Amino acid sequence: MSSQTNLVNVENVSFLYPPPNRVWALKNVNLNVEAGEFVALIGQNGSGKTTLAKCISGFLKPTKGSVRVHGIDTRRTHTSELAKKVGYVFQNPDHQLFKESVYDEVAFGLHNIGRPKDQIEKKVREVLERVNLWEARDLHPFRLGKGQRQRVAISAILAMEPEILVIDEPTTGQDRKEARAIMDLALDLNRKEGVTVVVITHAMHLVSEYAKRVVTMCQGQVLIDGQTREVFSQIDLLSHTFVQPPQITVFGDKLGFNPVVLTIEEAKEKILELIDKKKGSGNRERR
Amino acid sequence: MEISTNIELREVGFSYLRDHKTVLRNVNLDVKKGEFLGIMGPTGAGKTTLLYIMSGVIPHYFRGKLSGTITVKGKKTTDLTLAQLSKMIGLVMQDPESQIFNLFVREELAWGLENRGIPREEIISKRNEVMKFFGIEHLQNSVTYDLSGGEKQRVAIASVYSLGNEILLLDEPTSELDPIGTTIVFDAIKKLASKQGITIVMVEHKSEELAQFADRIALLNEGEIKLVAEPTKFFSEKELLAETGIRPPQVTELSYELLKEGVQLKHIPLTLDDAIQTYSELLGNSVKSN
Amino acid sequence: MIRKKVQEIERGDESTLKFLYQYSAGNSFLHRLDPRTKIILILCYLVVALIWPGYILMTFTTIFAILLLWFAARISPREYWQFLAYLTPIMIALIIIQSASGGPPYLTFTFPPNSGFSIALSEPGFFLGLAIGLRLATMGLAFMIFAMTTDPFDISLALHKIGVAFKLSFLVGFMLRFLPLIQEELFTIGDASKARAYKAMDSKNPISILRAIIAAMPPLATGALRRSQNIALAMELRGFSFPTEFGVKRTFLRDIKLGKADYVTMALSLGYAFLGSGLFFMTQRFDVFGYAAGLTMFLAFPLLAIIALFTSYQRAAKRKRQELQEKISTELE
Repeated sequence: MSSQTNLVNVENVSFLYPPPNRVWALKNVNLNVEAGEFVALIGQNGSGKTTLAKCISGFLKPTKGSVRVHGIDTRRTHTSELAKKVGYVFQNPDHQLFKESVYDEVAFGLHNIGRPKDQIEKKVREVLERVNLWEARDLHPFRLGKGQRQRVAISAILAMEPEILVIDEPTTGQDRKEARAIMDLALDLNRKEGVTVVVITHAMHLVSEYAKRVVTMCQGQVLIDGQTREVFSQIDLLSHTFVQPPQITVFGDKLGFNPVVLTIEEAKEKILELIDKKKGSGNRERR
Repeated sequence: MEISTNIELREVGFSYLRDHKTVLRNVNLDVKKGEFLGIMGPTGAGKTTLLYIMSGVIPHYFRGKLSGTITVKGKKTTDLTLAQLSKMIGLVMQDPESQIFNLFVREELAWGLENRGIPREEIISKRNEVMKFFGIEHLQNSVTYDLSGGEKQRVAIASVYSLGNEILLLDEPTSELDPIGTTIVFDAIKKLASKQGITIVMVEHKSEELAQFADRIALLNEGEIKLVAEPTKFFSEKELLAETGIRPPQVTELSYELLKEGVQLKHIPLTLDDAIQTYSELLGNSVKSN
Repeated sequence: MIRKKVQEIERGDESTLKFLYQYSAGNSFLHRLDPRTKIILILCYLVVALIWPGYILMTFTTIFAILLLWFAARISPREYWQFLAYLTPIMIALIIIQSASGGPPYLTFTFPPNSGFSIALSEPGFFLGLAIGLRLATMGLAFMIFAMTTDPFDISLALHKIGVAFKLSFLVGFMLRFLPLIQEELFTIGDASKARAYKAMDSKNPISILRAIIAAMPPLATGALRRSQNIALAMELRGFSFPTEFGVKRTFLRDIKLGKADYVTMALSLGYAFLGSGLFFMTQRFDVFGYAAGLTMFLAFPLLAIIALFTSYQRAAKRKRQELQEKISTELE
């Protein structure tokens, strides 16, 4: 697996919503995502993050410019073809549940790709066990709670083994535990199977912890694109798109921490270090 | 006669008819007039059900086995109709899509007032006031289904608020909002409580904001109220919170971690500003001026 | 600067629904007419269109409808071309069916040439199919004229003023308002099925698309049912039952009034319908009038109507522009 390949190539893309809206949701966006990256896509509502994610996945074809996934031009390919490479998990799980049992739901995509039956059975079991829903396989998806439905939707996409996984707002309306479970799953896929992950989210503390790279959108353009730490250190710039880094980062920044801290762990280490420095050899107990 | 508690729940229990699963058991809770009460808890704890019971949606709209007494401003919810209760309590539900049904935002905001037969000029002035308060004046001529999720949430909150109820219940009203949008909404709602004496009960997951704005926070888990306390005490119950998957504000968690390492802290900060002050004193740093 | 602001306000909100129910909020003549007037306008128009046979006359009614939308509502065909595009295969199907089953005289086509394989098209059948197809187009356009220029809640208010109970009339508007959302959700669900490599939605084959739409029904229906229950609750919580339960007289910020333009339009429409049907019956009885009468009818009246509407619109627009300019210049001070 070559880590230097540009898996996704967004070149000078602009997108205009059809009349009557006539809004340029994307203006001259340039973006390259390499295989194996874990990218967070952030920005205020209406900044173009979902539009960009949909362009990458082929649901929207760029008005100007081109999007290439593994060299394939999205404008020349059917979205259902691209789905074999790019898995897109929609924000509302209820829009992506078609079948009467969890099992059938996860098998649906595999049927469409044309996998043989025994392979399907094996894959469905594997994927459902991974999200702890194998016991629920005969239940109707709509009888499950929202968090569980979201997991069914994700596993249905995962079963197709996409190279890129795009997740739209996986944490809205979930409690902390469920949100973390989804992010852990994405991270696992990224680390163990090399799946490239793009997550759209407002949960900055999760971005801090999980994403290596952050792309910030503002009014249809890329405002900042870089490593998480670098992006979150530009607090004033981020406020233009109504985004604020996690509390701990802003806290550290106001205290003059350089580089900025991303997690509580980091902040703790930094403070202990500063206390040590201040008190010389230290006259406090350290376990 | 001054009623200092607006809502009283005594020994409240509830299970839906459909699956007979007990959703709430033995709930005792007092909501004080003019307070901002936050409700936290994992999914499935019964938080939405609790709001439904407070507003009378249960039992008047959803059926089930309800036990105990629920009193709003001295009257039992079972003695009044849903319409009568809606004069006292406003409820903002979780999904904004399900609460916006007019074509234009300006109509949505006025709709509830129209139902009450309030004269036109009054409706228009009230509407202008509400739009300014929630910062949605620029949306007034927008078509409601063209709005983003966050905009819809703000319109939903504004439409319910415009009814002028003394009690406002909100179910995860900032779930689709970006970080700064969230702060703006919390700030506006806090103003309602502190300046206008409106009683607020809000179900939320966001600890940082609740710690800053709420007067008290209740923890609901598996249908029971495990804890009700003002933020400082609430977030000090580390084991209980960890058990139920509730994360305290990051600066608070940081402080507890440092305490474990033996650092002496004057007090545990709950908010960003508090933490900056506490730690700059501790470290003797000059705060980076922005 | 003032001029631009006036233009902005005049243009109004140009959001359109895509193809189920197409209300395009605007500020044209037709938009400003009372919904009751428009109902009469459409009914009269339909009466004449349905009575008169023949493809030539149907062509005229179709063109008339398009022109009416263009001039009196300022909605160009570009905004509803999808509707016409979906209509075309139906029209072609109709023509083919009628051509295949009609009577003599026949037009024979040998296709490919000199191969002995020939198709016989019935001439009257062909023109009948064309006429039926165009009549369908006319009826569709009539619905579009009404739908694209009338706010669903104005329809509710109109119904309420006629005497329908508030809750029921509001429900009508509410349902119309939700149609575009359902359609949008259908597209989202279609996209989600594409995300599972389901090819049907991507194909150009109408049968595949139909199958894809059927596959999308379960999530659509469940979502719609769930949402409608929540919306009904939200409405109750904001006092939907107050007028009935407490006897409160409901305030309406929205207002629809019959004005001069309405009465003129109604008169013109009724006159058109009356003369149109009258002339038709006369052509049936006295061959004298025949074709000439029909042509006069369909050329003269629509032209007159368009001229009348257009000039009154110009006058009203000019007046409104002046009012707005005055208003803005006082605001700026």
